[in-house]
Amino acid sequence: MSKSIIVQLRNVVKTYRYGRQYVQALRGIDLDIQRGEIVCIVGPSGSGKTTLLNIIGGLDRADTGKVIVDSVDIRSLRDRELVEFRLRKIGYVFQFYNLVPMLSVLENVELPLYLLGVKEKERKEKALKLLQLVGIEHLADRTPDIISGGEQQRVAIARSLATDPVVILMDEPTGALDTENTKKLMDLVKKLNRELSQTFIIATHDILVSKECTKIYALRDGKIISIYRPSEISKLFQF
Amino acid sequence: MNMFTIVLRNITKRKLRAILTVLGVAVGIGLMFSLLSISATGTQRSLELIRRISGVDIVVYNGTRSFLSNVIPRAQQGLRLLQPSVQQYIDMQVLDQIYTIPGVYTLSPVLTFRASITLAGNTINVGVYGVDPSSYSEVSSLEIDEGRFLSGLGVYEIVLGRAIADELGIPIGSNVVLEYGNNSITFTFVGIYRAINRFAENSVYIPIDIAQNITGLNNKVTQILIKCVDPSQAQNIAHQITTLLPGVAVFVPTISVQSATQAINTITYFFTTIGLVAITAGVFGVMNTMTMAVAERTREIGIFKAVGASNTFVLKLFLLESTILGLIGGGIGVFIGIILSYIIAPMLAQVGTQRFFGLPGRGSNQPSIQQIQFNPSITPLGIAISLVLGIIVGVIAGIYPAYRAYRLKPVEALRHV
Repeated sequence: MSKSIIVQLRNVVKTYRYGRQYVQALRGIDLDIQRGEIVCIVGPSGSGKTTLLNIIGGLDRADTGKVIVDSVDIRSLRDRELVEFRLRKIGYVFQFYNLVPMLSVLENVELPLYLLGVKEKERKEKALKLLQLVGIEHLADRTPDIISGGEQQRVAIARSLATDPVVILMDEPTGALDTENTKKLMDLVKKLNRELSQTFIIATHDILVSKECTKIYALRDGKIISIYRPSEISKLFQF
Repeated sequence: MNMFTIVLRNITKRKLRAILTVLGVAVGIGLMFSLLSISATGTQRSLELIRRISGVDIVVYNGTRSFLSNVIPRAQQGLRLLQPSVQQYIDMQVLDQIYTIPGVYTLSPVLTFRASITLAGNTINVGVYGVDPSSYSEVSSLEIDEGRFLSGLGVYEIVLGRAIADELGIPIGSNVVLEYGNNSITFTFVGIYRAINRFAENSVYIPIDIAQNITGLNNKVTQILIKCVDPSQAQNIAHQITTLLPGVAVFVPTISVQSATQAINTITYFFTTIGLVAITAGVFGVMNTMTMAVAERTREIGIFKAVGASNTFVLKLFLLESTILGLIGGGIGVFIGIILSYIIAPMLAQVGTQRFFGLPGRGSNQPSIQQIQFNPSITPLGIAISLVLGIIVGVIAGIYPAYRAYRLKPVEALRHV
């Protein structure tokens, strides 16, 4: 694997069982993502976008194939090692923000650092810096339920950055945001990509998101059907 | 922020549910705590009783004395109930017969009757104990508060109870005139005894030979107090006495204490059972709350795991929550227990008293169980046991729900709405 390739998937297959039925969510995925890229995974509902992100992020395991993230074959990791991997290497941003409701904004950002065993003073300082980076340091003491959706998504991004992950996985990050907040979010993603060389893999339906990416993988029925550049976006949304 | 603050915030977020859960635990632990304090008190009480009546292993009295055979006919005859009647007495010769029984260490005869003391126009009715000073001191634990006890037979000395001495207000060494029927006998006041309460201090002690002369009951006694060589043989010796002397009855104080203790134990077992049932219900209450919490917070568990929390972290989170609920339940249980011990304890005292008084032949010179002040024993150990019990309840109740949270797969948990 080239040094610049941060995520590499080879012939990844994932099958789910629903009662007596087996559904193949991923049917032999091959993927190479380089450090510092903003990659979009697009496709209709049920195409396997979330499953793909979960497998890259170590939340789920592939049945067959190779999943290499930051030079680690995560299929070979034991459960405990996988937890450590998620904590240190992966940042997650979800459609519905998934913040812990009883923790303040600052504490939500602190959470991965607390799990990592970072001392309180140090983690508070870092969490505050991250909140400044995403432009919501003034909300540090509030709880997630009293801030807007756009602000919550910024908190989620700040949290995902806390442990300096090699890749941030975003699953429909703008799904619950309006156009203005979507634009703001993508501006933030680009800023973080530019300033921190942060790699993003974004699963989305949203054309506004897709056009900001460096590479777009189109997924259908668990297979990558094509790879597009942002300039080819009109072709992309024909399916 | 740490695990503890996360748990506390989760508990306080659902206040009503937490309060109800905690109360469920508290009731059971409260019952158990009160039982701990009461059984400690019960033991104290038994020891107190034994201590008070120590010295007397067996009391022998006239076995024909009974309410029907004695009091009612005498009442029908218009006689004063407190006047002595022949039926109540035992002949002095019985003493020699009892002495022949192996295992009898010493015995002391007592003749009791009612009389009065008049001073400056004030008449006080008193119970009179005619005793043999030399042997009585061996079988009795009478506490001389001031002065001394009687010096010997045939000496006109009197020992007053503290209550009488205070009422008469006379110094030791004064003369006291005891009136019985038409007889007025002058005694030298030599000492004051103290009893467990004022009521028991309304008696006087005089030598038994003088008491017999005053009442005209020569060679008669009301009771014989016996001390055995081996107190554990008291019941056996008592049985031999009743076999040897069919007309007499015996009373073995330690058996009464055992009976009272047994009654207390029965009630204690009863409340222990209720307490255990309540604690079991408390365990299920906490388990129910925690299972609901896991179900409601499935998505939150998924977030924790997605962010990088291990299964063990999530297990600890829920186990700590249930343990804290149990501990708070234990703490509140201690308060409930203190209140309950003041409610249940008098019930036990009542049962114990009935058992004690229910036995025939208890001499009036023996202490009443009611006279022993009741104080539930609230000890640091009892409090510690209750708190530990709360923690155990929390841990047991939390294991299953915490394990469910532990087992949840992050992907499935995140899908939960």
